[in-house]
Amino acid sequence: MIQYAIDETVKIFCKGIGNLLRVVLLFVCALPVLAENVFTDVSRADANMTTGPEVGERIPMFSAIDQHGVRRSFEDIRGPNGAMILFHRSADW
Amino acid sequence: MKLEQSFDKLTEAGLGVVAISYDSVDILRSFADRHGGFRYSMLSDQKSEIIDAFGIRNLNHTQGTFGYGIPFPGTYVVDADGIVQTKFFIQAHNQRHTADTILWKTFGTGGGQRIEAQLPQFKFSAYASQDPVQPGNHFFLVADIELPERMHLYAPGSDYTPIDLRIVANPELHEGALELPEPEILHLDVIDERVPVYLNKVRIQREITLGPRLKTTGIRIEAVLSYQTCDDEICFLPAEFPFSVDLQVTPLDHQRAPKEIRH
Repeated sequence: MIQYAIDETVKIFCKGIGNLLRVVLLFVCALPVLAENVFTDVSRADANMTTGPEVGERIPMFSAIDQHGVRRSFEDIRGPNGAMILFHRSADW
Repeated sequence: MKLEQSFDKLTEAGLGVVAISYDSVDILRSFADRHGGFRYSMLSDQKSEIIDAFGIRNLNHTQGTFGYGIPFPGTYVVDADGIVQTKFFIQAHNQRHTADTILWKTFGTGGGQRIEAQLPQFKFSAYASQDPVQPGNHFFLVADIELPERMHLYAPGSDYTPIDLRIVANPELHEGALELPEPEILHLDVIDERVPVYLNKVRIQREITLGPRLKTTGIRIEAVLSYQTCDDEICFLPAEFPFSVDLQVTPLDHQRAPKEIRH
């Protein structure tokens, strides 16, 4: 995320500058592109991943408030064949 | 993940759908409202208690930073008793699996349009585990082979040319692992040799990651199937079958919540 924030800042900065400066700063602007392989590089912010219950194991039961302000549990959510449970970083950023 | 678009397919598969994050109820409501509402549940795990119960908190984000409390993003499919059937986690934050590929991987259903061919020694078809795809998606190129009776195909570990499915180099695609079923062991009496082979129906798949910054509206996946087959009498020469699958690419959504309620 920090690397991403830096990349974005550099990008915004680079978009805003004139052509002369652009040449001078070409190297800086190219850095984020040169520095990473978009497919395989894992930033420090994503290192040491843990992935929780394995296939065949039981998940912990849970309940929480949903977008409508209603408390919902796994039992409320599951269908006849179970459920797809998605964990995401944020709906916001 | 465009969960809402996949909601009907997931319901048809008998699955409930829930997305869990550390967002406040206000952020979730705002996100849902901006997208016309969602039929699936978005749960607010603001103190990361569920995230911790699962053991997937991303500890790289320390207290006081806005990422404090986020999980490693991932998806589980569990049965009605809560037993994990399949799970999907990717370390890179700009890559993900989508519902279509998750359904394909869990139940073997769905997938994109098939291309079919009758090769000299077997029937072949191929398709992607989803179509359309999005930048950064992980999905599979799937090859189904139907061998006639008494014909076998070599698996990795034999001295013959084993089956392989390779993606032709393309800067917008990353070729992941090849997934193969367990082979059977064929005993060749004449030369007293044991070789791993496939018989009857074989499905192999190659994982693919689409470039996270892809801007085009479509992509052609060019691939080559290589193989060697033998029957009771004849061993055929190693062969290759090049083919391609065209997929639609839909763009990502980057719109954020209003400033007042952001993290």
